[in-house]
Amino acid sequence: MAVSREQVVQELYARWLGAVALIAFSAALLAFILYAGGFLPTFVPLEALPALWRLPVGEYLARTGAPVGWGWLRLLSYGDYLSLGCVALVAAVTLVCYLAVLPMLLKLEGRLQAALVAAQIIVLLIAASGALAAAP
Amino acid sequence: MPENEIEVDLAASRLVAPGNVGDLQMADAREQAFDRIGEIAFHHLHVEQIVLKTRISGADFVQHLHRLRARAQEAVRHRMHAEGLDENAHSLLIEALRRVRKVRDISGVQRRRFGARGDHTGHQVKAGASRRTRILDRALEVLAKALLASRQAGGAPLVPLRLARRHVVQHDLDPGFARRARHFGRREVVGILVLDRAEPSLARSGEALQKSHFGKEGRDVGGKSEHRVSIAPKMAETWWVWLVALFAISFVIGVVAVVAGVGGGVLFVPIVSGFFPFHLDFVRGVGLVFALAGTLAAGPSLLRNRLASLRLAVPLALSGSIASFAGALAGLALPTEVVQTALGATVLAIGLVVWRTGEAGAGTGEADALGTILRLRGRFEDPAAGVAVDWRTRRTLTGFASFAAIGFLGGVFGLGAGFANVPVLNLVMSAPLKVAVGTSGLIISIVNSSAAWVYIQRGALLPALAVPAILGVMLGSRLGASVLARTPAFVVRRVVIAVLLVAGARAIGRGTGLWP
Repeated sequence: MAVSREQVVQELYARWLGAVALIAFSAALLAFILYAGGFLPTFVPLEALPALWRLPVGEYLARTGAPVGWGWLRLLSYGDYLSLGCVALVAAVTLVCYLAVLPMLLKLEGRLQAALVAAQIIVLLIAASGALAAAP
Repeated sequence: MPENEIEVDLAASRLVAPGNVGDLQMADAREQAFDRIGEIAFHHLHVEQIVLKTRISGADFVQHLHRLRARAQEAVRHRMHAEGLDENAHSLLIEALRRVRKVRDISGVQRRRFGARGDHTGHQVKAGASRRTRILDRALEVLAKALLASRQAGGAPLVPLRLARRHVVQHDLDPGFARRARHFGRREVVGILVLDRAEPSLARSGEALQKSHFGKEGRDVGGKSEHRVSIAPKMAETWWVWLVALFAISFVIGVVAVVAGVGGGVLFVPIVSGFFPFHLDFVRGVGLVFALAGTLAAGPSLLRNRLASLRLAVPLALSGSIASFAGALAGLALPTEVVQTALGATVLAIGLVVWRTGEAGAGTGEADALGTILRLRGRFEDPAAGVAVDWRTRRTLTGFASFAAIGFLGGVFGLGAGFANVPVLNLVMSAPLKVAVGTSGLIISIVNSSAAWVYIQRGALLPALAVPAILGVMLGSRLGASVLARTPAFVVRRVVIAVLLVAGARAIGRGTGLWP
C-alpha cells in the first residue's frame, strides 16, 4: 500500500503527539497526587483555595503573592507549582510536536507547509514566552 | 572684679562625654517634676481595660490555617507573675449590692498564679501586678480594680494590690495573623486590644529596675478560635468536595460530549462558571486546558485513521491560534460581568447552532484558489460506509475568517469551539463530516495551546482545578466512546441543547446580576 507524503508526516506527528501527551498527562497526574496528597509543601494551601478561587485573578495574585510570567519556575519545589508546571507541559505538547515534524515537513511537503508550521511555532513561542501575556 | 574667662574642656576632665557639647542632653527639671506626679496614684487605678476592636481577618487563611484552629494564645511579656486574690480568705467586707469585695488586710493577700482563662476571647482577663522594687513604690498601696471579662465584671473585686509599675500584656494573637489581616478582608471579627492606662512615664520609670525580674510567660486565655476567626473551618474543609465535584462533572461532560457530538469545552465553561464557586477567570483557564486535554488524547488515533488531516489543520489552526491568543488577552482585560454576559449570549447562540446544524455532503466540486495553493485536499476512506471520498475545500478564505472569529471567542471564553469548527469545516469548507470532526479536534489542540499559555502566564490557571477536570474528561470520553453505539444520540443531543440554554441563561443572569 502506497503511503502519501502527507501520511508520513501525519504519522510522525501522531507518534510524537501520543508520546509527549502521555508524558505530560502522566506528569500532571503524578504532580497532582503529590500536591493534593500533601506530599509536597504548597505555596497556596489547598485549605485556602475555597476563599481564593472565588476572586478575580488579579485579586488572587495580590493576596497570595503568586507570580506571573515564568516566575512560577522558581516555585517548582511547591506542590501546586509543580502541578502547574506539568499542566504547562500539556500546553507545550503541540509546540514539541511541531518542532519534531518541521524538518520532515520541509523535506516532504514543501516550503509553504513548513512556513505555516514555522509561523505556528513562533505564535506558540510568543504565547509561551509571556512577553505579551505577562503584562497585566 | 574683672572676669577672667578661661576655656574649660569638660570632656578632657571626663565631666561630659566627648563630642559636641552643644548636643549634650540634660534632664529637664519640669519633666522630672511631672514624672514624680505620675508615680502617685490619686484614684483607683484601672490598670488595663478591654477595648473591643474590629479587625479584618482572614489573611492567615493562606499560610496559617492551623493557627486558626488552634486555641488563641496570649503572650504575656515583661511580667514576673500575675497576681490574683484568694477572695474567700482575705475579703473582709462584702458589698452585696455592688458585689465588690474590699480587702483591708493587705499583708494577707495571697498571690496565686492567675490562669487567665475565659470561655471566649471576649472575656479577656487581666489581673496582673508585679512587684515593685522601688523605694517609693513601697509606700504606695493602691486599690486596683482587677479587670475581668464583661460577664464577670459584676463580681470584680476591688483589691489592694501592689501596683504594677511596668505591666505590659501583649495579647499577641499571632502577630502574623494581624499583620496579614489587612490583606485579606472577608469578614469582620472581634479582636482584643488591651491597653495599659498607666501613664507612659509611669511605666517607663519602673522599667529599668524591674526588667531583670521579668520573665516571659505564656497564658492560654482559653479563647475559642471560632469566636475570633470563625471564618476558617468549614470553608477550608470543603476544598476537596469541590474538586471531587469538578472531577465528576468533567467526567459526565466527557461522556455526554462524545455521545452528543459536541465539544466538551463548550459545556464545561458555562456549567462550571454558572454552578461552581470558581471565578470565571479560573474557569476559562481550566476550560481551555480541559478542551486541550481531550483533543490531545484523541489526536494520535484520529491522525493514524485519517479522520484528521494535518494539512488541513495547520493553516486553519494558525489563523485560529493568533486570534485565540488575542482573545485570551482581551478576555482577561475585560470586566468579568461583561465577559459573563457575553458568554451567556454566545452559549445560547451555540445551543441554537447545535440544534439547527445539519450535515452537508463532502465537497467534491472544484477547489478554490487558496485551497489549491495550500493543497487542502485529501482522500478519506470510510470503512463503515465502504466508500472512499476525495475531498477538497471550498470557500477557504471564509473558512480562515471563521476560524479566526471562533478562535477569538474561544480565547475570550475559554471554550473548546468544536461546536463551531465542525460546521465551518463541513458546511462552509465542504470537508467530509468525519474529517471535519477529527480535524476540528486537532485544530483545538493547537489553538487552545496558545490561549492556555496566556492564562498560565497571567496566573489564571489553578492546577488544583485543571488536573481533576483533565482526568474527568479523559475518563469520561473513553466511557462515552464505548457507550456511543448503545445510546440514543438524539436524546442526548436534546439534553445538551437544554443544558446549553440553561447554562447560557445562567451566565447572562450572573453577568447582569439578575441571577446571582
